[in-house]
Amino acid sequence: MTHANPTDNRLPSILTAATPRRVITFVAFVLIALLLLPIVLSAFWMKIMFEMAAYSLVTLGLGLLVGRTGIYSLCQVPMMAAGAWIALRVHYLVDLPFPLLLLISGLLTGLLGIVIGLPAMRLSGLYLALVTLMAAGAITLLLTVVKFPNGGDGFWGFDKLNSSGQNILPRPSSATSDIAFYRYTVVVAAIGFLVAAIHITGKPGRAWASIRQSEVTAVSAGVNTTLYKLWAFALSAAVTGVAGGLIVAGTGVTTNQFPVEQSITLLAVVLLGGVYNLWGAVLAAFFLRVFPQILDKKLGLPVEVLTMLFGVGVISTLAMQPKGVVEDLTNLGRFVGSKFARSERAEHEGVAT
Amino acid sequence: MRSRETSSASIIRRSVIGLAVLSLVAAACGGDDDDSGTPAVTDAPTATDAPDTTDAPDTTDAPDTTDAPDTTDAPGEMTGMIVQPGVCGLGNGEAATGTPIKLGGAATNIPGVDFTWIPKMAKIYFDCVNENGGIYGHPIEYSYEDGAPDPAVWSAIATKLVETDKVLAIVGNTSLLECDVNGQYYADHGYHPIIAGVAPGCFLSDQWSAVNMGPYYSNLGGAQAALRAGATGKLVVASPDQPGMDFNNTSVQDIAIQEGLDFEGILETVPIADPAGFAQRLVQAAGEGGGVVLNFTGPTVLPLLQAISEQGLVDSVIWASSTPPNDPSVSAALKDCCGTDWDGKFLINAEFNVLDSGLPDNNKMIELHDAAGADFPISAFSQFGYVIGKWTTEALLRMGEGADYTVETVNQAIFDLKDAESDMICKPWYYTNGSSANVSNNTDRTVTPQDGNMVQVEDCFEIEAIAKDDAKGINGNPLEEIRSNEG
Amino acid sequence: MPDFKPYIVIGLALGGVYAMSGVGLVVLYRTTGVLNLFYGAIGALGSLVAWQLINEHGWNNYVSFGTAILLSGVITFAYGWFFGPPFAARDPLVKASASLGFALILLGFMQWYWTADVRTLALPTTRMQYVNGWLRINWTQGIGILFPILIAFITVAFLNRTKVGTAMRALADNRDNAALLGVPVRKVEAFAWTGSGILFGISGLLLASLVSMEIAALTFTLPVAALAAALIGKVESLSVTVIAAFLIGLIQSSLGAMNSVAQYRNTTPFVVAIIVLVYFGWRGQTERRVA
Repeated sequence: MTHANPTDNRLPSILTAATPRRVITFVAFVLIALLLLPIVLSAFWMKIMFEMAAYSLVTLGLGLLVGRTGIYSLCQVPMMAAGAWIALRVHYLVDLPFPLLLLISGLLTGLLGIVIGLPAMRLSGLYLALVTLMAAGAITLLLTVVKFPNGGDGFWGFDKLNSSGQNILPRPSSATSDIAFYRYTVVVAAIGFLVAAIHITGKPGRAWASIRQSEVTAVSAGVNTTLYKLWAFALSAAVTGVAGGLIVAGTGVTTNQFPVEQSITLLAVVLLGGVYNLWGAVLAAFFLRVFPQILDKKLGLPVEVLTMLFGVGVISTLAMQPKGVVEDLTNLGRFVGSKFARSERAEHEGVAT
Repeated sequence: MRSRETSSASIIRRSVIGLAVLSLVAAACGGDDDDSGTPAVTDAPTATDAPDTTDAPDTTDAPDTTDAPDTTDAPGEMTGMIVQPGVCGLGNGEAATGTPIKLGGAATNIPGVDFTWIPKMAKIYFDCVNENGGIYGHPIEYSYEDGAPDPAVWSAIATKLVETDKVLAIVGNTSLLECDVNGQYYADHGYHPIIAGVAPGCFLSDQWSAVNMGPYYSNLGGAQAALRAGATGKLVVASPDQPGMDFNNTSVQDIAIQEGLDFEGILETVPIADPAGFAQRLVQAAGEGGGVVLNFTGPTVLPLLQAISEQGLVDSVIWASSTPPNDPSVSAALKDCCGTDWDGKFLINAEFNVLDSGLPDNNKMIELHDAAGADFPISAFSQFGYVIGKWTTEALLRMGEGADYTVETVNQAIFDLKDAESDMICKPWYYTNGSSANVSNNTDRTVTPQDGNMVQVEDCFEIEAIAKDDAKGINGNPLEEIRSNEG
Repeated sequence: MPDFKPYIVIGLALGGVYAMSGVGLVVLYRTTGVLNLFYGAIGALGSLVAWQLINEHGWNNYVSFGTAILLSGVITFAYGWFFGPPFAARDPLVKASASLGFALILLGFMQWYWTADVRTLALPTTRMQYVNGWLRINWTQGIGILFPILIAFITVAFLNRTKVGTAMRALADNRDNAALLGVPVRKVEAFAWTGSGILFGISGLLLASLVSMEIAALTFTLPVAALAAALIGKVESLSVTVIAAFLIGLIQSSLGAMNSVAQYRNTTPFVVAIIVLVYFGWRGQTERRVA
């Protein structure tokens, strides 16, 4: 994972970026998630961890857009809903193996992402963010009208005599239990993060970085800005669509689950977690799905407190620590690390995990 | 130029009853419980079943007011119940100190929809039971969770209750979504929750049993009231654009076809973005002599009613509703905004008795609620919570002294519960009678706003049993089967 | 053919409410470069405070409305005073995002303090009606239609004829130059924040009365049409913003008369805004101004 400090002028590749420290951190994290958590956590917390794993792809998608290209999208939650919708619709159309279904869901949501991103060819900054907000509003309203497919006929596939409010996909036969599907989700999420890392450290990442710093310079340097902006939208939407597919099989979805406010909250947690570091996406998913449970189940605080905390978090992040909480944690980690391993100190400097 | 006087008396005693029903759960209620005025109670028909009252709604005058509903149908002599009317459990005044019986519940709680009043009232009742001998000396240890309408959240809540808290029974659950999410999970783990139902799925299986009847049947009850009040044209039903609501609208479609009337089902995104325009649309859809059944929560329907009143459309059609607006704070707000416009003109289907019935269970509920200093208002929801608490206690007591309390035995006792009585409902309740669907509360009343209160205009009547008829396009409901099994 | 006539007044009144917020957004953006995304929350807060004063504290209607509107101005001003400077040099996108953060704070507070009670805010003007055939208009609707037009005229006159107004226009053109020329930047900005806050407050009261007092809806969903109108006016032209707001209200309301599309009518502001923005983008007109 790279550290995209705007002043960082090195041009990394996936090979040079994959330092032993990063590889070890990543592998250790995935192994802990796969093996240790199911042993130490109760069935309840494992359900919460599943949500975090699935939502980490959603926050990854938005983090990529915001952190890499500087595009603020307020249409990420509708993208997740679209991923779930597509997975359900395809499932009722043809019987496909689950991984293929996820892939199709990701690809089609990626296409939708390109459509949403088309205005980015001519708009940027605030105007583009507001176009995505308007698109989110329109898609959300459309979804409440057409609803998720439940096996009905026609393009929308909705049977109104089917009374169930939950739309759920069968899980893959290899992962029917909660724990097994959680592991499945962790593996898919890990692949998603690796794909993102490959992009960031490769040619697209360099193009995005130059677009973020100055679009004019990027054009003069021969970067095809249109292509790479749309690519960012597509990648962001695709991982989010995959997350939608995972969620619809893991717990199911319901029509009114995705209000526009959620896209705003999502942007808040992503900014709060940190957008210049892929671990920030993991942290954002933690804020979004685990933190509320801790607040409610462990501390007994009302849910409204969370909304206020996110608001405070966004303002302070934007004003004081644009790199998000992950940067504070990294600094803390460096500080602790330097205490224990002075010899490795030199390697730590200037290279975030 | 027509100008009407300003509603000056905006200062009302909302501090007590300010909160409101926000649900799609069917409910019943009555006038205010404070001292703001003598509650007006109509001369409800004395008959027990399907009354033919049509007088109240179409007159502008206030319905006659008399004393509390006559007591011919009051359960003066309840038999077969261990828990006596207006009593907590054994009612012996001794604190229970034995090993506790752990029960758990859960309710939807998001801004705009707070169902936690139901488990909160159940908890108040259980606390009172514990002060009165408990379950033969065993106190009930009850707690509840809350969550947003997200399947992931509800799946996690059930897991917490069953596997982390290890509760012996699930009691008082009220959720927009749970009945569609956790059925298999509860079946796998041997639980039979006793709930207040919202989603259609809550009434389709005996995996759980609801003390209320939900919007599908409540819509139908509202349509029946509209027909009796003289609706002869098209029947229109409008529901929020949410899952299951298409299905809930079909109950009105069925009765429209059966009566040879035109029908239109409308789904509307909530909150309604332009209540005045929507009001126009409803009136144009129903047309002359039509009837409109509204199926919205209190906060959503109030601005709509206000807009209807402002545009002078109150008398254009007959307005009816499913239960949610049946709440004293709604009638108080209507008096605020619209004066007497709505008095007797909004026929709300109600499953539970009016709140000022003066009968033992109702009085006990108000007494307990006040004593507990509860942070939620007396409403139909608190009635749900009260009867859920009472009947769960009854089921536990029927297990007998010295019983072994396990998930299996306790849920069997709840599953076997029959002839559960309360003066809040029209007839005894049971968990299941083996029918293909589970709607043990299927007899309702009708209430209407009157001078800031909710008053009864129709006493207990049966929700119409409609047989399936594919040729006519009637989907039908299972009430005939259910009633024949009731015997 | 559905009967559209009853929908005209309703649509115009809604459009007027959007227009008022839209004017506030434009004036504030032109002066400070901040696209205020908590304007809905301010309006919601104002209407809830008014409700509280009337129903819980027994205040006079007009005093309560005045207090609520004033409070809207004060809170908006306070935000501008404290959070304006730290973000002054930042990208408009960051400024807008920070205001979104403030919206979340206000939203959380309102949902916690006022919970989910049923409320209605009956403005005294709503009971005064004029009825003539199909035409039925009450004074709340009348105010909703006429007031924003008046406000727009006053604002234009203010910007063109007064000292502060000239200073505001100078700020809009170039903040640093204006400061060099001796324009009291902070004072002028404070004026813009307060003034726009008052407009958001008035518009919140009208919206609460005409539509709903549901907190989340008042904060984000309902007032979004005002944003759409302001964007169509490129957050610059007051007249275009006002006209766009009326049109959006009219279209949205009229679609309600047609059963086949009635369900989709709430997407009107979103769809109109997307089409217009993309069209502007295509003609390359927005980049300099906002991006």
